[in-house]
Amino acid sequence: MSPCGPCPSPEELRRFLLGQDSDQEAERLEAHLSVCQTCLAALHEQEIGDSLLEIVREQSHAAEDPNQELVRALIERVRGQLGAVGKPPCADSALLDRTNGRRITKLPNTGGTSTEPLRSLPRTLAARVAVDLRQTSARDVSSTTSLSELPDYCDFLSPPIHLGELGVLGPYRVLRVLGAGGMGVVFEAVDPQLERRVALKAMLPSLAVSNSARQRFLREARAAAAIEHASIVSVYHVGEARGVPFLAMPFLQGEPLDRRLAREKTLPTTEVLRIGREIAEGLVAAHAQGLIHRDIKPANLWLEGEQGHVRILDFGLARSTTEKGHLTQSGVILGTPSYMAPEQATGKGVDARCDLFSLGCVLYHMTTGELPFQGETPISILLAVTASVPQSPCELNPKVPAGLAEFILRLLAKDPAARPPTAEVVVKAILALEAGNPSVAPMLGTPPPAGKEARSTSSLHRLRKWPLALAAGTLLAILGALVYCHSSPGALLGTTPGQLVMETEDPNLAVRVKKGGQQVKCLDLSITRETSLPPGTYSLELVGGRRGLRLAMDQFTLSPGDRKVVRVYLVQAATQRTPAETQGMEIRRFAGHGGPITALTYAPNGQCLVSGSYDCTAKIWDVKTGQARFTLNHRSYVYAVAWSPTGKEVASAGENSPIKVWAATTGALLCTLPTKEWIVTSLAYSPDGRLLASAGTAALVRIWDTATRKERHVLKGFPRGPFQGILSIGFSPDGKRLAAVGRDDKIWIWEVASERVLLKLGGHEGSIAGVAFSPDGKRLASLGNDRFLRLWNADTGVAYRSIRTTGGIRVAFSPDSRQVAYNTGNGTVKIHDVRTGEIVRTLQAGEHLGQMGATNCVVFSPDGSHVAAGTGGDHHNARIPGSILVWSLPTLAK
Amino acid sequence: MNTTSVSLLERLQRPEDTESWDRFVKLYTPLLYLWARRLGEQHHDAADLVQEVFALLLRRLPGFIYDPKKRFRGWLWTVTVNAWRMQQRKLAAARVESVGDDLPEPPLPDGIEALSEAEYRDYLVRRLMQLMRAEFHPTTWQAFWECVTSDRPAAEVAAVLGMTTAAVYAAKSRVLRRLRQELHGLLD
Repeated sequence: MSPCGPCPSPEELRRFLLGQDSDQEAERLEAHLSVCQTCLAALHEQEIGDSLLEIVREQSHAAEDPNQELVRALIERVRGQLGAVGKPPCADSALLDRTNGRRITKLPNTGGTSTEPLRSLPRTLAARVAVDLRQTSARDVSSTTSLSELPDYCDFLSPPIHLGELGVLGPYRVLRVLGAGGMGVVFEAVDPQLERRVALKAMLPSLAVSNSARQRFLREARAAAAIEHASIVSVYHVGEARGVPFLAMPFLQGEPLDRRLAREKTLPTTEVLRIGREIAEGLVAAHAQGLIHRDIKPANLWLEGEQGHVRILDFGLARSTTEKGHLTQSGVILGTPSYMAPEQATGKGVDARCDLFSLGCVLYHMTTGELPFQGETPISILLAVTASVPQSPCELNPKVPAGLAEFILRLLAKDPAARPPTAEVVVKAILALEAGNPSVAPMLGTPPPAGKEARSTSSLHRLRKWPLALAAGTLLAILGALVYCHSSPGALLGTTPGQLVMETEDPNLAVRVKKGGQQVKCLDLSITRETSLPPGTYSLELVGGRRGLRLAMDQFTLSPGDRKVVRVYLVQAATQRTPAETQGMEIRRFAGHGGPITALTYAPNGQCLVSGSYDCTAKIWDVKTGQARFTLNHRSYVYAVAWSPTGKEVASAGENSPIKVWAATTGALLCTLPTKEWIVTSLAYSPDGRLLASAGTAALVRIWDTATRKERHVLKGFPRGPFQGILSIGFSPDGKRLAAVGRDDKIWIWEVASERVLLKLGGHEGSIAGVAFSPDGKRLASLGNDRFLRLWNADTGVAYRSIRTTGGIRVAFSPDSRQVAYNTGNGTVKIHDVRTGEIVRTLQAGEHLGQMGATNCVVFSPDGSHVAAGTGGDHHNARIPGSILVWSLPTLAK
Repeated sequence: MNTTSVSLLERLQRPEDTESWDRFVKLYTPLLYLWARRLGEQHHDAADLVQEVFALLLRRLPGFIYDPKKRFRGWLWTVTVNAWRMQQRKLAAARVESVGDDLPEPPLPDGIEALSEAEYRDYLVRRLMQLMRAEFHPTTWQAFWECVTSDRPAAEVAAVLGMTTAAVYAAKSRVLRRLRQELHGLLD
């Protein structure tokens, strides 16, 4: 007996530790334990746990719920609607304050390009989306987040994997919106493979349909990726998912310069000089690569971390000095009026010095808190840029040293020749100012003839009185350029051109583009990898470059608006081969899919192939030429394709989509079969072509009548559950039976007509990915995630052989039923003898697959002379372009 | 005599208990949103659905007498799916501009099901810990958290936090008890 009542029993102690007792009991035990050392010691001995404790323990590994903004907005909305349910408790008021702290910036409608509000959050990378002719002198409109603002940006995302996330884009888990503008949206996202946080900039789907907008987006990515400099934000990678191009950049801490200026108005001289110098250093690197940024402004200058180190963002308008681009040719105004050089504003040709002018505007803004050129509308700003002379920064802010003011005005010279000649000179001049030199004028090169400057100045003085009359010429130039900017380039050029995109890991080579034997273009891949060409048939040749480089495709036909991606490969030295195995020869490679290939089937006549891909399309290919005849569009990933034995139709299906049936000869959509299934993973026609079977996440096999397009049977029994279902199905050659495998360790076989389960074959451990009946109907092959290929007697269900595999997901029989092939998971295809189980061939990619990675599917041609496989790795890399590899099989020596 | 605190589910029987309803909304909103997304709804419609479900729960939950044989998760899923069906029917009716009575029952997207048991439990406990953390003294919480998530003995945790060992045990016991009480009836 202790001083505080009787000692509790071990059971009572256990319940106390787990919090299973009542408040009253607990109170007593707490008091007791505070004095009873015996019981306290007894607690140390307790090794206890229950389900709640286990769950709580698990949470220590759980990441913080990322999308708190969205959740909070949702909760606010529910509360508001429930009305009577009440007032927000004080616990959340701090959060509300934080929300109020967000700036909601309304942009005036400038020329019809952007009516969307630019939303931004403090201390995170805000949207740096190129909005044509966007005006930056926007007034801040304070507002709390309303839920209705969020959704449009999120609608192109795949459903989220984790609670609290917005969704999935390509390989990335999207956590929340950082900002949005007229052209795109920037998300905070996580790269699940590297587990790092990224800023993900995605183009709005509505704009992604436009070729030129796409090009501009890709241009930014390439331009920025080309430069490695501390002052320029790097690009991790560029991709496309569900038709939406995106690029991943580092997730930066800090704020953009415009936000700092909104807060502080003017910056101290030392800070102005440091920021100015770091911008100029970045420009040196960009200009050295032949790139002009063309949109230098505070919103595009990120101040990173505590030090506020400058990182230049948004190369969306950048232009290569060497490229005769069609998109941003002279005559088109792109940029931000307030920071735009006069030659840019009037649509004349620009060179690197236009960035120096913009830098001048930024310096002016930082020193005076005002823009050098102001106006109510974009047009009046543009007029001011081209015509008015800004006041000296000294007059607006006496603290600005005269030497700095003089230097800024030199940068703002109308005539590019009157500005410092290069960014290097600007860096040196700023260094001199930082060192305390009173004037840097002598460093800035020879000013242009005094007469010219004087004349233009005097005309400018008159201009102030009658701006319209005198600036009429300029105004017309601006208006002309504006009109041009908002017309589609295709309409002006007569025909819509197509786009050739070269992909290479090694840019040190050129590609000659020929049409009818005549060279039409020569692309230096170190400068540009994209060009637009009038529709037609072209051939390609490599010029220079390392030995062993090959083109994935040396001939192609471009239709209007088409986009052809051609990859340059490095052929690697012959890999070691097992002498006992006979190899096949890769004879053809079809490139054109923008994502991994998930499914592949030959036409019954062997002349065509149909492939499905994560690029949300299926394609029908001509086997001989390697040309894609038709592209069959889906809204999401395509997982399954099938070719009717009649040869007439092709079926395709995938995620959140009905099955689509297409005319094989025209590519026309014949009908859709609604499955209401999340993902259809597999399709199969019965050998007589009368039935089409589909299966997927619903764990059902639906059998459709191909004549009536109606569902005829449903084969049930396969276990179902979240993230479960069927992965592969196959008809027996007589069409009477159907086998299905998936997230179950058994092969299920039904009699189709009676919907009766005939067999459940156990033997694999875990999921089974692939299944096939042999064409002679005697055998069944299955490929398990347990890395076994098993061969079964199709009638009795007796397993007669297990073959160790190296991974793989699809299995196929040769037409003579004597061989069975599977994809290995490392880019090769292995073929085994059905009778002996011996390996007879290993098919390797003739050229290095690189990041294209593993093969996902494998098929024999109907005559057995070829094998085709689709590449592209797993679905976490939906951006990796897939290719179809075709091997010819030399006749085996008997 | 059992003086265990009343669980959240029991408190929700009274619509006028705004504090408890507030807790409930905070606890379940992210989950209902995810369910709505998994039902195939895009963001706008998903948010509408979440709202609709809460409106339904406000009416039905007070009448929902907790039956130990019935699982709350299953019941909530049913309410959600019914609300979703209603939404679908309304949309379909608006599309065909006809009376919604004879429209077919919208089928549930196959393969999309409620969260698995484990996923649901994990979510609920995680979310509730976020919401309840502020109700404890920071040291109490820290002691609980250290005890549960690290393998350190209570005496060591006590030394680090400057508490008595008995106080560390008490902290752990208290937090677990509150979580357990609050979740009563919701977890299975």
